[in-house]
Amino acid sequence: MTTLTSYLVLSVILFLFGVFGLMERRNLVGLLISVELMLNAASINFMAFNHFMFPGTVTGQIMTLFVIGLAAAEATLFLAIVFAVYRHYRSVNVERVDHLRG
Amino acid sequence: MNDFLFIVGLLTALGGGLLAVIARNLFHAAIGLAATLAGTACLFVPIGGEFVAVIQVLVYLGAVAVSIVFILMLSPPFYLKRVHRNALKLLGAVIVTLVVAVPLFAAALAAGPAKGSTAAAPTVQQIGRALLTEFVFPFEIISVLLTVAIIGAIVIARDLPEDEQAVLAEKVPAVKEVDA
Repeated sequence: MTTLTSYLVLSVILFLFGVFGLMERRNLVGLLISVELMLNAASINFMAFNHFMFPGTVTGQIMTLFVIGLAAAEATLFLAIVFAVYRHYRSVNVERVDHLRG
Repeated sequence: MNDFLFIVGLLTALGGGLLAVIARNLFHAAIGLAATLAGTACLFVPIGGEFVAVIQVLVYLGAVAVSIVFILMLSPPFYLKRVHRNALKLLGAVIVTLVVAVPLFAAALAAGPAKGSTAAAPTVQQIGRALLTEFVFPFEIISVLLTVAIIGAIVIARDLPEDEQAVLAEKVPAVKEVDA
């Protein structure tokens, strides 16, 4: 049951949830949640390939640790940006934040 | 035991992910994200990732998911505003997702056969050793990055001085209706 393919298919499904959320959500916090889903799917891939293709090594696990660290930094900055955007525009709808539109 | 953990993790992760993208109330979406992260930690255990599973719960679930809930609780309740469903945009999102899905599923199903895994799962000692020898440079870069991110977050989120606020108020026309 715990095979490489089952892990990969699960990670693809989670990634697609993330893609769908990224396309459909209009709220900045909703976008952040979708991005976290996609990062999580990437972590699953790293762990699965590490275990099934390169048993006995730790490179994939360390990549996953780095992904977790980067996600923490990203979430911090993202939430600060949400605060700043809300203060300026009184909205976190990404379609209203269009002052840089070309 | 491993199969049990896999099934539990799979159901939690997929159910949470579904909730995270289709919930109209953003607070429910945040709960769904937390469920996905917990389920993923479950999934790491059968493939020798006990240490990573613990870190996932500590950092991802304990810090990232909680900070998302924090911002929803601290902000005006924009997450309660109902979004007008736009059928065209929904259709576009579905089409994009399907287009992305085809190559990804093809790649996942074509992944080569797994090598017979006889090696023992990596120990925490091995991970720590690799972090401080082979991967010490990215490790240090990550620590600098986290410091910069925290300072940057404080700078971005701080209140603007009065005069700058006045200048901004002239440039940015107030958006009356909030339909986030």
